[in-house]
Amino acid sequence: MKVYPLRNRVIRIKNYSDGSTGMKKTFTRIFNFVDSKFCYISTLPALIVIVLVVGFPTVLNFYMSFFVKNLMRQATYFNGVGNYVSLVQDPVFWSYLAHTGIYTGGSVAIGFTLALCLALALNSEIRFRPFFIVAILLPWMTPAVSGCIMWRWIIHDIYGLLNFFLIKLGILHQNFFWLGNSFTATLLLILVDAWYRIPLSALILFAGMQRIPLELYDAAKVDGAGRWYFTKNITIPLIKPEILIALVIQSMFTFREFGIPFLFTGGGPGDSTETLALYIYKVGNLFLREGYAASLSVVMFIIITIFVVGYFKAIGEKS
Amino acid sequence: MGQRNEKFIPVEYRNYTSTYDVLDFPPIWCMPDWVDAGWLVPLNDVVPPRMMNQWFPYMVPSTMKDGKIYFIRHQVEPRVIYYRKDLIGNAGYKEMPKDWTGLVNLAKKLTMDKNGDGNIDQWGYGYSASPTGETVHETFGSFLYVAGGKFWNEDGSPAFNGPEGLAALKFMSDLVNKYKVTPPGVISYREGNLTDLLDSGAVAIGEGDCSLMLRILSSKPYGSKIGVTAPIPRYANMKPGKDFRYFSKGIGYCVNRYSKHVEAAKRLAAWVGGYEANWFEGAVELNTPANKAVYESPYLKSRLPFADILLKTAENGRVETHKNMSLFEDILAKGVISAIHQDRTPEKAMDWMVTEMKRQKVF
Amino acid sequence: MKKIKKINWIRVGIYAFLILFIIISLFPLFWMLDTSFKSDEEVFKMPPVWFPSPVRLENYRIFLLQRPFVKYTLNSLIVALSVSALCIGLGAPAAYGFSRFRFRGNRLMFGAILSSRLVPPISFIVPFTMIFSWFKMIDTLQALIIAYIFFNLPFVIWILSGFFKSIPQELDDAARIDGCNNITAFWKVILPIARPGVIAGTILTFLMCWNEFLFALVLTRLNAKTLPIGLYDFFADGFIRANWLAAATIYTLIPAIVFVLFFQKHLIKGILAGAVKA
Repeated sequence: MKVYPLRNRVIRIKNYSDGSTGMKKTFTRIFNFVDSKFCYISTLPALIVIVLVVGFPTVLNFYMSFFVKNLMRQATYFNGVGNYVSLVQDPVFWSYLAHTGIYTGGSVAIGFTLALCLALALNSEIRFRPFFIVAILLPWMTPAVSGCIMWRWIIHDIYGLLNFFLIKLGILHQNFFWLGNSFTATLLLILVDAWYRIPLSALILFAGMQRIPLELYDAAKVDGAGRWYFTKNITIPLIKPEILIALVIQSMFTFREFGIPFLFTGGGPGDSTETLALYIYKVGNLFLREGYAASLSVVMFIIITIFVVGYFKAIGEKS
Repeated sequence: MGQRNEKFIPVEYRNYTSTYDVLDFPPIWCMPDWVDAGWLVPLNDVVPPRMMNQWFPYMVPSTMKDGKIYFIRHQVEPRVIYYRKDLIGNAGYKEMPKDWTGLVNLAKKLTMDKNGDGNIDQWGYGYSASPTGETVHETFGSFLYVAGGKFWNEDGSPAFNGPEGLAALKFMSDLVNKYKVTPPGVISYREGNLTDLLDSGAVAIGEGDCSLMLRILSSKPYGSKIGVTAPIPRYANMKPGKDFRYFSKGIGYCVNRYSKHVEAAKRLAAWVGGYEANWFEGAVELNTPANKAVYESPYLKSRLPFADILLKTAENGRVETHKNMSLFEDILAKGVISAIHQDRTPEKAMDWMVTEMKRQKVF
Repeated sequence: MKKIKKINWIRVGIYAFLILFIIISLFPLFWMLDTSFKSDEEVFKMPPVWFPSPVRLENYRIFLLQRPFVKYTLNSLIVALSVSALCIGLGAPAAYGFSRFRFRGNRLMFGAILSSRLVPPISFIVPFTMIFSWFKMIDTLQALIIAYIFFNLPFVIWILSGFFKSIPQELDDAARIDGCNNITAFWKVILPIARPGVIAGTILTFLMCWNEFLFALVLTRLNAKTLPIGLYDFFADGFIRANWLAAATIYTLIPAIVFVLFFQKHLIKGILAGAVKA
C-alpha cells in the first residue's frame, strides 16, 4: 500500500536511526514504523472503537429483531420476520408514528422559522452581538431534565405563572390545565422542543450568513436593493448548505428524541403525545419484549436514513 | 427509593446477580410475574403458622402462589381520605359524608373562588392520577373497591369492567368534568403533588396513601387542621368488609433466588414479619404494621395518629395481584386518563382497556 | 435648533425581537432561580412572590444532603471527564489522519464514522443492556463511559477534521522541512494551532455527557447514577418540595453557565465547525 501526503512528498532530513543502545534502537524502529504508517495508526484506533461500540450493537440489534425475546416469560425463540409482521399490524405503532411525525414537523417548522429570523437579526449591524449569541445559546446547553422541570413548573395549572399572566391579561378566566388535552399538550411539547433546538439552528444559519462576502452587500447597496430584496434573493440562496444542515439536524434529532417527550408530557394525556422513541423504551424496558423493541428501532433507523438521504438528494439535484 | 426501581429489577435479574439479597416490595407490583420467572425463594420453612395467624386474613392470598409463601408483609398501606376540619365545619358538616352523593355535595360547597377574581383557588376534592408510577392503578383501584368491585374474577377473567368499575371510572371523570370539583390537573399529579395541594390549601379533601400522613399532618400552615378518615363507599348502606373493601397495597419482603446468603436473607425476612419488628414499624416509624396483634398495644395506639381508622381500613382491605404488571398498568393508565380528559366516554374507555389487554395478552 | 435624530425603525424592531426572544427563552431559568430561594410557604403563594425574603440558601443544603447528590455529581464528573479525554485522545489523531492523508479506504472509513451519527440512540437500549449484562457491567461507570463514546467520538472527529482542514497544508510542509516527521508535525505544529478546536470539542463532549439522559436512565441502578437521573428521581416520585427541586435544577446548570461565561468564543467556534464543515 502506498502512502503519500496530499501535495508534497515527505522530506525527511533528520534520521532517527543513529541511536546506539538497544533500547533506543527498538524505540527508534517503533518510532519510524509509526511515522511511516501514521495515516493508519492515527485513524484505526478510533475506527476500531467505533466498530465495537456502534457497529456491533447495531448488528446485534438487527439480529435480535428476528427473535421473540420476553424476559418476563423467560422466552427466546427465532421468529423470522414475525416481529415485523406484527409491527405492521400494530395499530398503536402507526398512531405513534403519526404523533412523531406531527411532533417533528411542528418543531422543525416553528424552530426553523424562528431560528432564521434570529440569524437574520444577528447578522444585521447590531451591537453587543456576543452577548446576544451567548444568551440565545444557553437553553441548548441545559440538561433536558432541568428544562422540562422548569417548563412544567411554569405551565402548572394551579401554581403556574403562565395561567397567572393569562388571567391577569384577561385572556383566561379560569386556570387551564395545559397538558390536559391532546392539542395543547402536543403544541407545548413542540414549543419546548423548539426552545431546545432553536439555538443550534440559529447559530448554524448565522455562520452561513457570515460566510457571505461583504462586497455583495456593498454592491447591493449601490444598486439600491432593499433589505427584504437582498435577504430573499441573495442571502437565502447563498446559505443553502447551512439551511440543509440545520433542517437535517433538527428533524433528525427531534424524530429520535426521547428525553423531552418522556419528561415533559410522559406521552400523556392518555397516549396522545406518545412518540416512537417513547414506545420503544416502554416495550423494551418496561414490558421487557426486547425482540419487538429491536424491530421497532430498526424501522426507526430505516426511516431516519431514508429521510436524511432524501433531503440530501433533493437539495443536491437542485443545485 | 426512586419510583422507577421496581421496573428495573427484572432487568437486573437477567444478570442472575446478587446485588439485592432481600427486596422490599409491594406484592401487587410483582407477585405472579416474578414467581413464574423463578426469581423468588419460597419462605414456608421460616414462617411459623403462629405468625400467619397474626396477619390480616385478606392479605395472605396475595403473598402466596400455589401454596407457597413468597412475601412476608410488614406494612399495610391502606388508602385514606385527608380533609380540612375547619373548612368542613364552615360548610356546616361535622364529619365526612357517608356516600358519594354526599361527598359531591360537600365538595361543591368547598369549591370556591376566595379572592373574587373568577378563578377557583380552592377545589373541593383531589386525587392523584399521573400515568407514571402506580398512581392511576391505586386511585382507580380504591374507587373500584369502595364501589364494591374488584379487578379479577376467581378464574382470572377481568372483573373491573363490570358495573362497579364503570361507576368508579364515571365518578372519577364526573368529579372533574361534570361536578367540576376536582382540578383537571389531577391526571398529572402524583401522590406527592397532591400533598402539596393539601398543604397549600388549594384542595380541601384529598384521597391518598396513608404513608403520606405524617408529612401532611406536620406540614405548615394547615397540617394541624387536617383530619383523616376511611375512603367513602358508593352507597351509605354498604357495610365494609361485606359489600365493599378498602384498597390497601402493603409492602413485603421477598428473597432473591440468586442471593449468596439465602438462609440469612430468609431469616431477616421472617424477623421483619414478626411481632417486634411490626411493633417498631408502628410505634417508632409510625407506619401501619401488617401484624394485627400489635394493634392491641396501648403505646402503639397512643403513638400512631388515627390508629383506629387505619385498623378499620386495614381489617377490611383487599389486595389483588396482577399478571404482566407493567403492561396492565400502562393500559389501565391510558384508559382511565382518556376517560378523565374526555377523549373517550367511560364506557368506551372501559371497552378499549379490555380489548387492548386482550390484544396484548395481559390476561 | 435641535438636530432631529432619525429613528431607524427596522433596527429598533430587530433589537426588540432579539430582546423579547431572549426574555422568553431565559425566563424559566430566572423563575427557577427565584423559586430556589423561596421558603416552603412562599412557593405556593398565588399571586406569586417575586422577591423572596429572606433569601433561603438553605434549600441548596437540604437537597444536597437529602439524597446522595454529591455522589451523583462525582459520577457525572468522572464520566464526563473520562469520555472527553478518551474522545479527544482517539478522535484528534483520527481527524488529523482523515484530513491530511490520502490512503485506501479513507473516504469509506470517514463516511462510516459519520454515518454512525444516523443511528438513533434509542435503538441501542436493547443491545447495550444485553451486552453489559453479559459482562455484568450494568450499573457501573465503565458501561456509561463506553455508551457515551458511541455518540461523542464521531462528533469529535467531525468537529476536529473541520478544524484541521481549515489549517493550510503549507504549515505541515514547512514543519517537515524544519525536520519534523508526521508525528512531530501533528504534535508540535498542528495540534497547538488547532487548540481552540480541541477545547471546543472537549467542552461540547463534556456537556453532552453531563446532560445525557437516556443511557443514564437505562444503564444505571444505584451506584452509577448521574446527576440528571438523580434529579429525575427527585422529580418523578413527587415527594419533594418545589423549592428544593428548583435548587437541584439550578445546581445541574452550573457547568453550562460556567462554560458559556468563560469559554463562549471556543464554544461558538466549535459548534460552527462541527455543524457546518462536514
